[in-house]
Parts: sequence; structure tokens; C-alpha cells
Amino acid sequence: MNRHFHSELEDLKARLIVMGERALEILDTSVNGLLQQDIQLCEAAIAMDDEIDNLEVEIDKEAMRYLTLRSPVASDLRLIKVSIKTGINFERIGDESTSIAKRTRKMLAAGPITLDLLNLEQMSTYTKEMLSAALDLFISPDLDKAIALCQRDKLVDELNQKNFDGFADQVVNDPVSAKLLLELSLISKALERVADHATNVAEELIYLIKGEEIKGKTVKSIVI
Amino acid sequence: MPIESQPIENILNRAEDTYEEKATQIEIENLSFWYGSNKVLHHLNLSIPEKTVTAFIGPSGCGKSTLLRCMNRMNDMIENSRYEGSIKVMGQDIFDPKLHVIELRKRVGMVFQKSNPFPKSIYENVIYGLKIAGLGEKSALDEVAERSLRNAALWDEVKDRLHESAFTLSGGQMQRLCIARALAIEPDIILMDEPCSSLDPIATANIEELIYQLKSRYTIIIVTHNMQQAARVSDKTAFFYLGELIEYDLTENIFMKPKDEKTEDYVSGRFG
Ligand SMILES: Nc1ncnc2c1ncn2[C@@H]1O[C@H](COP(=O)(O)OP(=O)(O)OP(=O)(O)O)[C@@H](O)[C@H]1O
Ligand SMILES: [Mg+2]
Repeated sequence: MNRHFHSELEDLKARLIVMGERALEILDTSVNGLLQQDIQLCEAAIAMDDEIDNLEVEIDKEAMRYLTLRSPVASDLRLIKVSIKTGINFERIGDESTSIAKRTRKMLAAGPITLDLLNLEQMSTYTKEMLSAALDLFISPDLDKAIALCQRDKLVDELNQKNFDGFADQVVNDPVSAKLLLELSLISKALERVADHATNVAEELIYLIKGEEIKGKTVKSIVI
Repeated sequence: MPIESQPIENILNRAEDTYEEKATQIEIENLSFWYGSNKVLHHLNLSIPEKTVTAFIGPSGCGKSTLLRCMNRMNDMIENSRYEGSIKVMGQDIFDPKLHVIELRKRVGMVFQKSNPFPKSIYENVIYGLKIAGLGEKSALDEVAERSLRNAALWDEVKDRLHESAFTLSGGQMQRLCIARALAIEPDIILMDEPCSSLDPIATANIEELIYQLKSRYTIIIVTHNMQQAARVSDKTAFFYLGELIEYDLTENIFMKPKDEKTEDYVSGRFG
């Protein structure tokens, strides 16, 4: 039997997807601001963050309301938990993207960036792909794809480590650019965090599908 | 429409609070009630909006059923009972001596905790109230019976056995039959006193969904001991304790952020 309030869960999920799309948009905009050295894109990204924050508050409110009034169980209950946690992750992606945009804006204010960005472009491509794949999982849940997504996180971690080493080496050769190199290193770190959040979202979706927490477990043990 | 294909604006602009306060249908003012010398309702003040579901909750003996029975003057029959204050239904004082109780009960129907069909056929049970009032020809009665049974979500299950005894129905079906009987007289208000207390979860869910559908046409007051049921079906909730109204608010406020400590204790199961 479908109860009248089940449509509220559909609404909640729809809001979550909207929020995820906004997170992808702000990430894309801030990364383009950096790669195209475009202050306007940075400003646009910074302006997007408020809406994402508001969406998180709303999702939280609706999830709490459903929890209180509808006594959800089983997959309905898991969806509520997943909504709250995913909302937090999308909100953090908004924060990290804002931080990328602000750092870029600061650098551009001092003139065009002539330094080598090392793996930042590659990293941002991976990260956007991961977040986009995580959103697809909401619409068509797929355990294998979710697990594959979690595994890609390592690639981004490795690129971040390479960036860190590369930027650090450059500081030795070019101490005048130390501040800029530090900013680029922090941007790299922000992208690495975005990939972590996308991974968290995928883990939440695995929990939604399987009903099992996978944090702290090896991916192999989940598949079995 | 599947959520993926809805315009984003629809989702974002969805009204945050879907509840809008409707016009008052029942106005209770300064109502007190005594059984003999025992005062069981104390100066109650309560406005109940039309076409909404209002839940009455509170510990056993706090006066929920007494208040419900005041609203269609079912307490009249109890010796030595008396009241003070007033109840107005659609602006009319129901204690007015000129008011016909039969007229009142046509507007204010009641469904009891234990379904109480008469030892008659399913059909006879539904149209009983109309027959008593001397209303209707056979064809009109048939029509009312079908409509009421449909509205009570029972028609499909009984349409081929209308003339069998009502006692051949299951508990959940009997309860829906009693709802159909209440609907047949086309009331504006339906009072339900623990209508699901003897039903299994599926029959309970059926009645709850029925209540949800009925509220577009009727004002419903439901007494329940099941907090989750109150939370699921009602728009507003009134919490009573020892014959007093402690708190009355939107259901989500009562369950998420009650103002009174007693309400908080009761809804969270910390009472007593
Ligand atoms: N017919 C009656 N004669 C005398 N006292 C009564 C009568 N009916 C109820 N009472 C008393 O009035 C008070 C309120 O009873 P009421 O039945 O309204 O409570 P309630 O909130 O409906 O309780 P429950 O949840 O157990 O149904 C109780 O103290 C009860 O003992
Ligand atoms: Mg009672």
C-alpha cells in the first residue's frame, strides 16, 4: 500500500538531487574560473553558495519532519539518514568550491597567473566526473558503479600528493612566488576534499541500497 | 510526474508549510463538565478549523471521550451530568434548548472505538440513520449506500454481499462500515474515538488513508492513544491532561517542539 506521505519522500529526494546539481554547478564554475583565469566566473561561483546552504537547511528540516511525523522504517528510514548526510557533503562541496573561487580571485587581483598548474586540470576533471557519477546514482542506483566511484578517490589523492610535491619544489626555485604556490597547493587540497565528499555520497548510496555501512571496510568485503 | 522530469522551480518553490488555517467550525468556550460532583473538564477553550484532522491525545481518563461526546450531546443521557460554557458548531450553540439533538447529530457523526454494527445486513447498517429520519425512497437509499461505502473504501469488498449480516465482516471492515454509516447521513463533522484500537496494522493503515482522503470534505476529530497515528493523520493536535487543555498547535509543532513540559514528557513517553 502506498501511504499519502510517501510522496514527501519523493520530494525530499528531488530536493537532494537539485542540491547535488547545484554543487556540481558551483564546482564547475569555480574550476573554470581558475583554468580560464576569469574573475567573473569566480564571483559567480561565490554567489552560488548561499542557495546551496539554504537547500541544506531545508533538506534537514524536511528529513527531521518526516522522521518525527511518519515513523519511517527500513529503506525509508535509510533514505532519511542518507539525505541528511548527503546534504552535509553537498554543502561542503559548496564550501570547498567557494574557497577555490576566492583563492583564485585573490591571485587574479595581483595579475594573470603564469605558474604551471601541474595536475590541477586533471584533478578537477576527475572530481567533476566523480560528483556527476554520484548524482547519477541517485536516479539509477547501481552498486557496481558506486563501488567504482569510491575506488577513483585514490587517483585524486595521488594527484594531490604530486601537486603538493611539485608546488613545494617550485618554492625552492622561485621563492618570490611562494604565496601563489601555497594558494595553488590549497586549491589542490580543496579539490581533493571535493572528491572525498563525492566518495562519501557514493558510500551513502551503497548504504541506501545494501543497508550496510561501508566506512572502514574494504571495498571487496562489500561486494561479497 | 517523475521527479527527474519536474522543472527545478517546482521543487524549489514548493510551499514550505502546506497547512493553511481554515475557518473555525467548532468553537469551544470555557467548557467545564461534571459527572455528578466529579469535574472532569476544566474551562476548555478550543477552536477547531473545518476540513482538517484534529487529534486529541492525553493519558487515559483525561477527558478526551467526554469532550468528544459533548460535541454531539451524547452525554445528555448520563444522569447527574452537567456542563458550563458553550460549544458552537458552525456558529450555532449546541446547548441551545431550541436545538433538535437529531439535527445536531446529522451534522456531527460519530465512530466509536469498538465497531458497533447492528445485527442487520451490511446494507441496512449503512442506511440505518436515513431510515430513522424517515428519509428516502428505495432507489435513493441504494445510491446513498453505494456512495457511502465507496467513500469509506469498502464498496469493492462488499458489493456482492450487501445483504449478508454485518457480523460476517472482519474487524477492519466493520470499522469502515461504521464510517460508511456515519458518512451516509452526510455530516459536516465526524468524531472518531480510537477508531483503530482493535485493528491490525494494515486495517489501521487503511483507516488512516481513508481519514486523509475524507478531510477534503469533512472536519474530523480523532481520539487516539497512538502517538504515531496522531502524527501521521492529523493537521492539529490537542494535548489534554487531567481535564485541562495543556497545548493545542499544529501537529508538527506538538511533536517536534512542544512548548509545555508536560506535552514534551507525554509525546516522548516519559510520562508518569
Ligand atoms: N459515564 C461516566 N460516569 C461517571 N464518570 C465518568 C463517566 N465516563 C467517564 N467518567 C470519568 O470522567 C473522566 C474522563 O473520562 P473519559 O472517558 O472522558 O477519559 P478519556 O480521556 O477518554 O480516557 P481513555 O483514554 O481511557 O478513553 C474519568 O475520570 C472517568 O472516570
Ligand atoms: Mg476515551
